[in-house]
Amino acid sequence: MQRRPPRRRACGALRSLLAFAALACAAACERTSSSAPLPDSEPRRIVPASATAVDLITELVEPARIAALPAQAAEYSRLVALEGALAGTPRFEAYLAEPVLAQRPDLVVVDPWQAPDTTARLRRAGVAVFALPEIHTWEAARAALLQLGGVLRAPARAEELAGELDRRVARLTERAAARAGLRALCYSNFGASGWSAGSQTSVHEILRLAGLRNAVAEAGRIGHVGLGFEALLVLDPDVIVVSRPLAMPAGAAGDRGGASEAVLTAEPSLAGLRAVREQRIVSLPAWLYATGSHEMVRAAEVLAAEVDALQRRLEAAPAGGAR
Amino acid sequence: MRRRLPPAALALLLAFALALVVPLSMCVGTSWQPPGTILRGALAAAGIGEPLPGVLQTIVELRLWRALTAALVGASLALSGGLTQGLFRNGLASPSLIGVTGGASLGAALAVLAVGGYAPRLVMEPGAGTVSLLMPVFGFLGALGATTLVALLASPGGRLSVPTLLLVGIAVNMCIAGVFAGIQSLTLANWEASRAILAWTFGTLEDRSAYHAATVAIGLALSLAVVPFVARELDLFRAGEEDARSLGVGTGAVKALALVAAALSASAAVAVAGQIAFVGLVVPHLVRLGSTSRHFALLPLCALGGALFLLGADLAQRALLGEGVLQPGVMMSIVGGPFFLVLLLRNRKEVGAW
Amino acid sequence: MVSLLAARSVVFDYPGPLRALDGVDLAVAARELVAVIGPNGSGKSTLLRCLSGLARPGAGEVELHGRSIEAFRDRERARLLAVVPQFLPALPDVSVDNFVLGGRYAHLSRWRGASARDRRFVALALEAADAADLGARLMSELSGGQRQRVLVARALAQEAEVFLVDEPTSSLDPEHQIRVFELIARTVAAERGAVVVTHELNLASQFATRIVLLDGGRVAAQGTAREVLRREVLEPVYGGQLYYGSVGEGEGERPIVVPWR
Repeated sequence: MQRRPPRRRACGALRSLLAFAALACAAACERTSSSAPLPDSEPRRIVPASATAVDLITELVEPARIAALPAQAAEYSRLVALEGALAGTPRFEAYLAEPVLAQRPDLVVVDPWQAPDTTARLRRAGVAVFALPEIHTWEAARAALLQLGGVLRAPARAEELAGELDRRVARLTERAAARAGLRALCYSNFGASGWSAGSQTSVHEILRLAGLRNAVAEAGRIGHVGLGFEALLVLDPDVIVVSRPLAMPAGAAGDRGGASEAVLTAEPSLAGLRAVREQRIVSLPAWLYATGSHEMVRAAEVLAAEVDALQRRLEAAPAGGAR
Repeated sequence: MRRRLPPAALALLLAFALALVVPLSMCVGTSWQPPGTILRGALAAAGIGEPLPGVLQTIVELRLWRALTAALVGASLALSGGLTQGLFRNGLASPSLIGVTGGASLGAALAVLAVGGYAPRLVMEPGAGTVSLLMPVFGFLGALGATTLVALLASPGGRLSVPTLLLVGIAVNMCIAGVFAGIQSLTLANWEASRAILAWTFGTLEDRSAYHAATVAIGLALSLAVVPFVARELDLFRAGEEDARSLGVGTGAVKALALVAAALSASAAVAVAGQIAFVGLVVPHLVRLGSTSRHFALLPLCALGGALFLLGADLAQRALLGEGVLQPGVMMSIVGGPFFLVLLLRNRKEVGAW
Repeated sequence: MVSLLAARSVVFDYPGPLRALDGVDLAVAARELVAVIGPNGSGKSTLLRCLSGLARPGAGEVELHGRSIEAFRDRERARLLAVVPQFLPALPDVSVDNFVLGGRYAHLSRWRGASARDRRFVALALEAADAADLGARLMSELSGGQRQRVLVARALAQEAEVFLVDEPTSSLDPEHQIRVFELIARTVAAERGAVVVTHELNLASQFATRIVLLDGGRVAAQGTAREVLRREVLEPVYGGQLYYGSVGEGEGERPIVVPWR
């Protein structure tokens, strides 16, 4: 009998290994994609895993039903505005199976981009996981709110909130005329290179709700994009929106907008920008600047108020070019 | 015998090419500007003639600083590479391999931390005095520390062993990367600091100002000033350190000088543009291949060649891929990685003997 | 006789239990060619490194012109003392001229570079080493014998008073072995001193003014060829597998020693 040459045998081994890997993959995929059954009863130990989930859940259920919160929520969710509510709720650092399971959740709510393998592990451990849809627009945020209301057995509260938000959006739209035609863009820079947001981003939606034109989106750019000084000078917007960190770093007193605003005002070559010359830089608190939930309505309200205040100031002192 | 250019001819050629590429790269940006406009804007920036109308003058100046920074960074990295390869008597040595760039990154990250991550305070305000020096100075100390560590660990009993150098280089770089990652995760809570460190690690040749160009220029000038003191000595190093000493070379002083100069120019470049690998590896090879291996000519030629190389690569990627698609470090790694492999394979016989 | 270079009770230890040099005395004066012989591992090359000032003895002293060699700056020392190494790494794109010019390093001023005088020294050194025709060649193109002559030429260009030569004839054919030793002997005749480490007992016999026999890091014997190359002296060190004879007559008579069982 002829023995198979070793090379062929190695190929065979490799093939069976590949087959096994493929099977394992398929099994894993099946497990992840099959949306695990959501709880039949009212969830009592809810764990939101993202700032967006925290925004939505803290609106819909009483604090006692929230088992734990992600650490980043302290800076990037509406907890900032709740001032001390939920202070006693346990925190976890990262969306990993062990720290989340340690909170004995009966429902975990995640963003669509969060680690799928953690989600798979949680589901395998019998925990229901609800994945929020991707949210870039107020419409999507509203739909997610209503859907989550159903999952959390709080549909009435969700409907009520949606109605209230509808009224606030309508009011924003009513008064948007005062800001019509203003070209804005958002800008962040931490010392090495600048970033902005084009269409299909939540910042774009915030600008839209506030009645502002997004100059970057109008230049045809989509998503989060790099923006050099030269491009900034070419776009020369009427208003630049920056993020304002919760806690200012040492030595930054007086700079409302943190690093990004400091770059804009300190860089000699940007001195010619209209927004710099006429002090048309407005800042949003970091949690609103980065929000991906229905709180974009609040962000738009804050932004609108800032821009209105800016315009009143400019009208009062028409020669606002001096610095 | 291979045909090689006399050093003076290569220097002229490179200078000529540079004189073409600098203005050409300034024509490219958000919009094409004709060379005439660029020239008038550049002259106005130097105080000659009327400035261009409106924002165009500022745009030309931004492009001028960008081009100068890219050229100076390329020059500094290549000079550092030439010094490093001469010092370690090995063409596979490069500033990044022996820890210069990693150490500089780490030092500069510590500088970011020291000032609470308020990056603009470090790099944007030329008037801020000592603070704006913090980044390059920390970078330099980090680079010098890492390189000295690698050199000491790789020369047990005073003799440098090349395989040990490569392995120690990898190990020290891994340690640095580990500490770096540690700093990054510990600063995650501080959004501003972590973003500053991250943004800065990738590095950029965008949005550079006169201050950036000046920082690299100073580092480059100081290391070029060292060349006459180490060039002839590094030539003699090629037959071994002990042989050089027997001919009267003060090897300790030469090693220290060359190491400091290599750390100085590379760290100034890293402090301004982040980590850009392979310029320091590739350019000295090309110069040796094309012209000379005598350090007195080689080192200045490396600086010229490096300037042309990085600026040219930057221009090429802008022309091919559009504005700011790739970070310069990413681009150089894509080009330089394969080059390093070819180098290894070409020297396979020698490498096999290690 | 005033010695140019002298080792006094030099002790040297490498890491490990073995002592490479254990109290060695050796002196070389002008017009002296001292051959250092001894079996492998007897400490010959280590002695040469100590004499050249490149290795620092654990105890004892090396003196150059009556002054401790460690008190010299590298350039000063190199103007008095030249080393001809046994091995050199390949130098693919270095020309012979430039290589030999390396020997002038200690004489060059930093800012002026090589002068016409330095070039002349290089040419003279190449001529003296029978290598005048090699100047334009590349180091990597040389044969073993040519390479050895170029190495000696570089040491000549150094204008030193003492030459330390490490195994100059290994891998050379007999003709070239003799030519290298003749070259060293000619150099010594011009008021220089040389210490040559070698395995070639018969070349040492023919050219050395004095032979030093090292064994286990100690000087086992030293003197003229006739005093050292004898069965009673060599047999305890090299063993019994040597044939002893002699060549020449009267004053010119020299012992020869050949491996023979």
